[in-house]
Amino acid sequence: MVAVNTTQAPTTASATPHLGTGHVLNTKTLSQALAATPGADAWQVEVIGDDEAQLYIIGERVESRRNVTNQRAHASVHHFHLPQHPQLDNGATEQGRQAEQSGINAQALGMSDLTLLASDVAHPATLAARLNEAVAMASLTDNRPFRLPGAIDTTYPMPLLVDPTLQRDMADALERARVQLAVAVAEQPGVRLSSAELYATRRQRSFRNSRGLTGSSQETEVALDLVLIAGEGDRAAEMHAELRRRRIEDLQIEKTVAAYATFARHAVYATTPTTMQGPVILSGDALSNFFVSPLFMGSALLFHASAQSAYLHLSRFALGESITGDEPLGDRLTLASDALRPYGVRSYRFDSDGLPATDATLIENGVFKRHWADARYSVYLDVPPTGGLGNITVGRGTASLDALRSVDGGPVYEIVSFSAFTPDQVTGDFASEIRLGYLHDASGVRPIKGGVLSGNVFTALRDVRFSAEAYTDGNYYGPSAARFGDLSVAGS
Amino acid sequence: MAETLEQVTRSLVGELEARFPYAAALISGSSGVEISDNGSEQSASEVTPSRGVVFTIYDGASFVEFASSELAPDTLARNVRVWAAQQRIRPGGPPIVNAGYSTIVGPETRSFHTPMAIDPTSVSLGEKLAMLRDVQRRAKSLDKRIVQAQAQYSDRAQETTYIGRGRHLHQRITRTILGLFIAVSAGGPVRYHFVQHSGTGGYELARLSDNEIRTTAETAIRLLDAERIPPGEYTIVTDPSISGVIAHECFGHGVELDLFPKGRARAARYLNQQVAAPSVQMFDDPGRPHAIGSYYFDDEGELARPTQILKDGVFVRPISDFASATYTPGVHTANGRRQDFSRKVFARMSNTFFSSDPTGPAPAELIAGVERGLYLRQAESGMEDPMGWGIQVTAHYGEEIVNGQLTGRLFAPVGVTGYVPDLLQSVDGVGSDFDLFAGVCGKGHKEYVVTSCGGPHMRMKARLG
Repeated sequence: MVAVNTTQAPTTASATPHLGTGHVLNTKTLSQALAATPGADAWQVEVIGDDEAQLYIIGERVESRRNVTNQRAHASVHHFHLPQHPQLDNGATEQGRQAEQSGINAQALGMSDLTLLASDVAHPATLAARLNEAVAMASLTDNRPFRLPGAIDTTYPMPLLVDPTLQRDMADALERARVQLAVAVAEQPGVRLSSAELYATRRQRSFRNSRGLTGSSQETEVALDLVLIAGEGDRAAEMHAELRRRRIEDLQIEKTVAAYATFARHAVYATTPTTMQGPVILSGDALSNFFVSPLFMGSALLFHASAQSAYLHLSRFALGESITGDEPLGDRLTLASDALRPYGVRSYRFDSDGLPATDATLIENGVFKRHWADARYSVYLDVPPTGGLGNITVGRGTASLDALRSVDGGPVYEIVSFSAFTPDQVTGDFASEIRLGYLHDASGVRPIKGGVLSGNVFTALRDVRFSAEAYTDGNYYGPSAARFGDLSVAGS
Repeated sequence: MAETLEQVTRSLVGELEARFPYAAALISGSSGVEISDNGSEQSASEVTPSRGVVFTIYDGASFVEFASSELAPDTLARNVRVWAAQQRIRPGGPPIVNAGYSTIVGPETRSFHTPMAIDPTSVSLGEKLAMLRDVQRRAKSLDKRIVQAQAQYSDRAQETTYIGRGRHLHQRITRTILGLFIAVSAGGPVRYHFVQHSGTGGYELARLSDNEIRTTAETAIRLLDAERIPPGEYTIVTDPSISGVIAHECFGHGVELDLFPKGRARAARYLNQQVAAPSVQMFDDPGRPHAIGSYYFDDEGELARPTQILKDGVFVRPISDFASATYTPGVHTANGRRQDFSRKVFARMSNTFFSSDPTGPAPAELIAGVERGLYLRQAESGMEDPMGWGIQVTAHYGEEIVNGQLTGRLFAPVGVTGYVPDLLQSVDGVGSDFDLFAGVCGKGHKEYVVTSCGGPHMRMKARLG
């Protein structure tokens, strides 16, 4: 049991100090500079301003407090010109003909991105030089032309993105969360807080492009990185949780701590699984990672569903065809990219190209229905744009979690946490260490850890049953568990 | 004449040092280009500059930081003073001690920069694009089954200035990368392979030979017939990239000293104990010439120097940042690193490797000693478990060994797992060769920094799946 003094004075500043800015980045000023830049035939600019409070905790002690202000502008410059690399296999000439018909008098498009800070706009000559350099870089590359999005017919959608609590005072909100966390851990027998990191961000975005598209939005985000330890010495075991939400209340600290404390206690006496081929349940974070990887390697399903992968001949999906090839057993996958979901971590008003948020079903009943496509690749593939990826929603099944755990057909492993689920985006193959799981058999339930779960994302989906119960991690919304019929566990 | 950013920062650090037991500042930012060519698309852009400044104080209880992208000197000074006025000395934290700071260099400014044969800024963008065009074209023309050949190049000059602890240090680190990704298909699923040249250095690194390109394409084509490995225990021979990721995940992350006070590092209880076979030597060295994870000083002004982590299989020394060195005085290494100014500093690796045995076997000799096993090639990723001492390493592929000979039968991908001491104590062969490979290292799933890892070919036993 950890004794926690919950009455100590707050150690964070009561509020983020109001800070002055020397040279303000804004889309109007930058747009005027871009419009005046020779050769900047088309352009877009997004200004992002972040205010962030960060709190780092070791045990009961605040190790570090940070305030961060980060304002920058991402600009993209387009330059139309005659192809300089005619050997490129990009259809530039044909596209140039089409582009001419649509008003672009060129056969190739060069693009260059740059990031500007407030100090870059202090001197107009410096800013002009940066923009001229970007045009010069763009002029050296050849790509199929496309037009930036024009003004949309309706206003941008207004998904809920702001937590008033964070909007008011981030440091105070984090301090309250710290106390709440300490109380929640103290209530858990046999578990102590190793460390925690709390981040709160207020973000302001504004966008403008050369075709008159403009927009602005406000967002908040909070993150909790939490490590709980159970047991002592070489018998000690930890569980690590990483949560990102729009609202601080959605961290559900008490519930989260209780769940991970249970996992930590179980991990203390978990044993290595035995090697087997057969049914495996993924639940909670382990299942959300199957669809949305927490690492930069990304997701095999989303990689193959993208218009960019199709354009580069890397996608295995064909519109109107099954994503698994063979006729699937059990449930069929329905998966959508939903950027409109209230308080979804990946919800937005508009994406980095200024495209409005959508709720787009990409896979329906196991059949590939639609690419997720940004402004560029929607033109290349001649498919409707979806905008950048939103929250991933997966259709739930009809079976209860208890039914999925049935051992009538023999033992079944359930995995709740991987060290890192990192499927190969291109092949869909995966081999991931089991951080914590359970063996369900006729004698009951026993925790396991260690060993490797291996398989292939696409073949795994040929035999899967999804739970009726729901789960979310802030950007995954879907079943809480899935039972895959045929996966491989390498254990003792 | 207006004061420069560095002059203002130095004044501000002086003001903070008068009030707090520790104060420092780091100014950081990057410049350079990143370009790509995949045969149908070309891109050329500046690298993300990530420019900003961070001021740090120790208030007696916690490290408190103010970080900003606002670099106009007068505005920055005003903002830092507003922030500083809200800070006060607090009791209750561990005291700051100066023990272990063996590299005080004095108040004068010292500057360092990466030596280069060809400074990338002296090469025109047109020349760089033409080089990539050539690499892409050579690759794509090799085989009709190649559905995609992507060539990527970047040069990035990272500049950092540290002011604090009586030091005023400046460094410009240039990192250059040339990579090629080749995807193939025979009408069915796509397989791929990749090759990369990288390091701290200039444009001279941007070369791929015909043989390297051809080997990459041939391996990708061979992988079309790769199988999944039957799960189980195997004798493995690891190439330097796999050896390196094992080092990185086993006793790299596991000995980051900031994990010790959190109770997250099992290694804390194994200092000066045997944790690996006596033939195993392991280092982290931020000063290694040409390695991509190298720097002259870390983000807390500590001059780069090597740390021997494992000596004859015994864990002898962790790696640390300034804060964690404070908690355990005397163990301060040059490993305090940030993702960028907006992120906290942590104890992080630089170039982490098992050292080779100059009298050890050649790779072919290690393979010849395996009756049945697997030769693991090209690391893809890994994940640490500093408390449980589990490990996950993913190899892009492995080739079957039977009676000391490679059979040509490939398995892909191959997951390596096990209990760290079991894995390292099973090492029965350390090769005489050596190589390092570039990577991006996260602390868990965040805080990414550029690192390298490597070592010689090694032979050990592991669980594969």
